[in-house]
Amino acid sequence: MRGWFRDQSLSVFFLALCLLTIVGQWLSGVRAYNAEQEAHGEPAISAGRYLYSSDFGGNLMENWESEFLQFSTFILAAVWLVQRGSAESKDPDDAGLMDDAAMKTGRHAPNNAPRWARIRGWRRRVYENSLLIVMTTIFFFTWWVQSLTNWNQFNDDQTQHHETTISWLQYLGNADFWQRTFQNWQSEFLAVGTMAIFTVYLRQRGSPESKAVGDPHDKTGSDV
Amino acid sequence: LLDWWRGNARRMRTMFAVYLVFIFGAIGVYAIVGLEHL
Repeated sequence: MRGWFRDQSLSVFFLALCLLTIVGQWLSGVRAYNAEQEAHGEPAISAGRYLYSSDFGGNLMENWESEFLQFSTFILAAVWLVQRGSAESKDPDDAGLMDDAAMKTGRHAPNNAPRWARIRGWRRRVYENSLLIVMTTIFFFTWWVQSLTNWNQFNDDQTQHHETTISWLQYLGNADFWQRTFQNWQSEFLAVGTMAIFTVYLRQRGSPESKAVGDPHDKTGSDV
Repeated sequence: LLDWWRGNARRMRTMFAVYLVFIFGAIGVYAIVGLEHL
């Protein structure tokens, strides 16, 4: 079990952090929500009910979608775009989809390669893009759910202020939806760009997200 | 079938599945919450 945990410590650690912070978001969220309810003369709701609310779900999905957009765009952009000297980039000469030898596909696949990397046809096409497919799928689903839950929040707000409610399709063109969307996206793109350029000159000893401390600034990619 | 589900990669499959179930489970729950008003 200890060996199992050590082998999975990165994914276990981040899932635990995620769950803990979701609990924090939940407990602080219900207090903030009920304070708002009280200010509008509306009844407070229980913590359990809040967990199953559009307010909580919308805030959760809003942040999730932008994270998965960040990784999706980074995974895709880094195929063709490079940053010379960055730990997060491949060599500028390797820009593009790269050949079978470099990607260890087809007859270049080693014996222990995943089977779908060895065979030809649609299964190889799916497998060689599987990371992007799954990340992008999660992005689009979370963005869709964000639009639904934010729309509910928006209409609740409209009702509380005795204003007219709108349909989901109308909400998709509403400034509230796009303001919430863009405010999440911009921070993700800044974070990725920062990682791309900062890792040229800055280091973290022992981290695979950095080059080796003694690597020259113009060395692209990390071997750590 | 999906050979990464067997062999040497077996050790990692639990966390892979946990993440997928967690993410799509939450998406499913809040899709239902959102769709209730549609």
